[in-house]
Amino acid sequence: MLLRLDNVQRHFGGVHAVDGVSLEVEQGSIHGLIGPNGAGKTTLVNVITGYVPFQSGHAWLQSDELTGLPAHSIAALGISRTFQNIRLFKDLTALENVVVGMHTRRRDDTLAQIATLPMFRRDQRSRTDDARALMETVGLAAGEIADRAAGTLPYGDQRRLEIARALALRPRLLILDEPAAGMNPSEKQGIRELIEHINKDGLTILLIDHDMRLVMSVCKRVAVLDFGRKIAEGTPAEVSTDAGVIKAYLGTGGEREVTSAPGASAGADTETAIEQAPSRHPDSEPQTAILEIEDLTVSYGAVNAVRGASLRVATGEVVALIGANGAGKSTILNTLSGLIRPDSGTAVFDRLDLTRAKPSTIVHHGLVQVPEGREILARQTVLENLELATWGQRDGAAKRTQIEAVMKRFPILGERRALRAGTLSGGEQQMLAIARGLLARPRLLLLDEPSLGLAPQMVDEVFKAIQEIHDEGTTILLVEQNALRALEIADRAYVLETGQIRLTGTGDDLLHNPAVRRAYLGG
Amino acid sequence: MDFFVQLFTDPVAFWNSHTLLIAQIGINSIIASSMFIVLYSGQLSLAAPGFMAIGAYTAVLMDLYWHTPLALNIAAGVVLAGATGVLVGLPVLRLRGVFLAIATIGFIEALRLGVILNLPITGEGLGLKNVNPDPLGGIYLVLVSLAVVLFLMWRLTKGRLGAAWAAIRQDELAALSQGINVARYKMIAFVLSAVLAGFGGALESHLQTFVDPGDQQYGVTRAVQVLSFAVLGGSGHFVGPVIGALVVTSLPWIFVQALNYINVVTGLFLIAVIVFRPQGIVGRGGLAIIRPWWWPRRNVHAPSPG
Repeated sequence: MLLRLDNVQRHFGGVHAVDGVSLEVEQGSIHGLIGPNGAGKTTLVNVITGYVPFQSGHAWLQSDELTGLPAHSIAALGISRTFQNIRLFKDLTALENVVVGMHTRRRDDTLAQIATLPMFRRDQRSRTDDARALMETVGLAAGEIADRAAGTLPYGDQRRLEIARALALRPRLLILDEPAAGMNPSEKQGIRELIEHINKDGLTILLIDHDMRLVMSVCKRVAVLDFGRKIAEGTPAEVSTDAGVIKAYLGTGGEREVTSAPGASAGADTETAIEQAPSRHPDSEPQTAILEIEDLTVSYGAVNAVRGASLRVATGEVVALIGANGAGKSTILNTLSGLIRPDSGTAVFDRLDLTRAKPSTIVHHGLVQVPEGREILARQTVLENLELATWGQRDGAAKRTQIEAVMKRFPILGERRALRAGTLSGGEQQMLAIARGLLARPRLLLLDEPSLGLAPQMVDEVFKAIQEIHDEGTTILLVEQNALRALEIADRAYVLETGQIRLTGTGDDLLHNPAVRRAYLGG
Repeated sequence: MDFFVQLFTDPVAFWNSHTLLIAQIGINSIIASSMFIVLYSGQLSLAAPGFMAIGAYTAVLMDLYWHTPLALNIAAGVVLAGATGVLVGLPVLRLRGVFLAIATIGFIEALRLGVILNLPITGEGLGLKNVNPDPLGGIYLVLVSLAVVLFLMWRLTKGRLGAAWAAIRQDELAALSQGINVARYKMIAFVLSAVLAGFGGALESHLQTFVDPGDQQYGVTRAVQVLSFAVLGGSGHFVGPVIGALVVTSLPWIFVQALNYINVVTGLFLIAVIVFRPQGIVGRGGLAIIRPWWWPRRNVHAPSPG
């Protein structure tokens, strides 16, 4: 056994984040650790790596006891990790990032440098060569990006660079905390191949991820956490048929999601999809629209994020805008809200020119965006968050009735009105963000990735809420990466690929159209 | 603009008429390097004037009472400043950001108002007379010291120590995950910074006939001036704070007609740099800013995508 945990406990106040977990990771294996949001996966990693102290229990890496050691000593013993939200040294170059990872196996060369001994120069050159080799190992083109500041690299490269930095430590155990978060299926495939590649050299990996397919495909054994307890452990096949796991992790109806998620059974479909793909048929678009976007082009410096996109939304519709990461979905929404100015094209909302109007004017005109990542004020209470949304209005009594109304709409927010918003679960925070949007009394509500980072049960609840808001008469433009869920509730949808509208049709049409998968997989 | 005219047309006369200025620039550059080390390792410490005071008073008092040689006086000031650095660092390095800044201001004001202004041996509020000052001859010592300090900075930031400091500045948690003992490296930086400030203070006292316990010498005003060196020059490269010290110290001589409003001029200059070049005059590139157009570039940075 490489890593052995014995009855590890960690409580935060009354919350049992990790509650008596025992775990054994075999030398040379890829061990999976899964569980719904808030199950305690990241806390367990933080305990193992010394970021959060043990409350009770023990941990060993081979014969070295980890209990009570500070984080840097544990790293020096040979456990390296990546972080769920990438933590690179952003202003250092990619190469410097990897060199920092060699800290523990590098002798203290301070005197050698001061004396400017040739030894220092030689060592430095071998370190640089090592670092370049490591970058190539994880699939980065060292020649092109080695001297670029890490923070300027594309998202996928940053993930890979973080893995290269972790490998530079020459660890005995590598802990990957959601390495594929926020990636599209083809990028996930790349990460999966990378994990298998670095494991082939004998490195033991503890893999934490939300994505069941990734974990199930690479891991030999999988442990499942729920509410801080280990509820199952075994081979992927055993775990995925365990009734308790299905209930805890997948929620009801979750199995359908696993078997039919985009890319799950691609292949044959993909080829036929190209012929079957319906061309744009604008006749299905409404004649009178409250929002009209014509030939919109937006760029960030030299990069064209949106290229000549046109779409329409009529009063009372739910329109979905779907597409893979980086397709330009959020850029379109931010342009509509007046946060970004387009290069060319028009966007008109109820006779208001959105390409010129101030963001505040656009909100007053009734176009309200619920931003990606929720952007709630974590340290204010739920009530304070909602009060802030009515800040522009003067009539105090009217404000209170409005707030009472949204709290009735989302009872969970009423119950938690005095809690700090940051202590809510992800799903509750999303409800709060939507409630805050509703308080601005939108005629058109823009929702940006409402299911981001939520466990399947919470996604169900959020989508139920969206459906209800629509039934009450609000027009909705919904941006989602979770295409299948979005299409289920949408009247019509547009599929965006690399900044262009590829497909459009009714939600049902696209739901059964294999070409949608193509937009995700990049053909 | 007599300043620049003389500098370029008659450097010898400039040297003779501005010896004191050049020496002060040298000393401020050493203090700026002390500031650089703490900022480079991600600590907003304003303790430098306190350690300068320790260096200065120690050196002058040793000369006054024991008539020891200059080298020993300065060395004693440096050692005492370093030791104080350890004692102060143990509690305050648990703090970060503005909290650390406030705590270090607490240290310098406690030292100045609580100790120096109250002890008979330090001359209380009247200051201390330096019996063997060398205002003009000391410049060579200052320039040689500055060269040594800059060489050390250059070498230290290139190696393991510098890499660890840069990592800590960028992200302490990630630095921990790379096996870097964050507390230890922060302490090393803090004590080195104290040693350099003590050295600068002892040197400064050697040039002056009088050790002045005023606020502009060892108080918050001086701390803010030292911080402005780093903000102006940039703290991503060891050359930055030195350039900042050069500019801030010379401004009163350049704008000699506006001497009464020199703080306004300095302030406007600072604001202009913060607005138009937030990374400081030098930024991370070091001497690359004075790279002539025909000199080959070492690091070609590709444009960043949006």
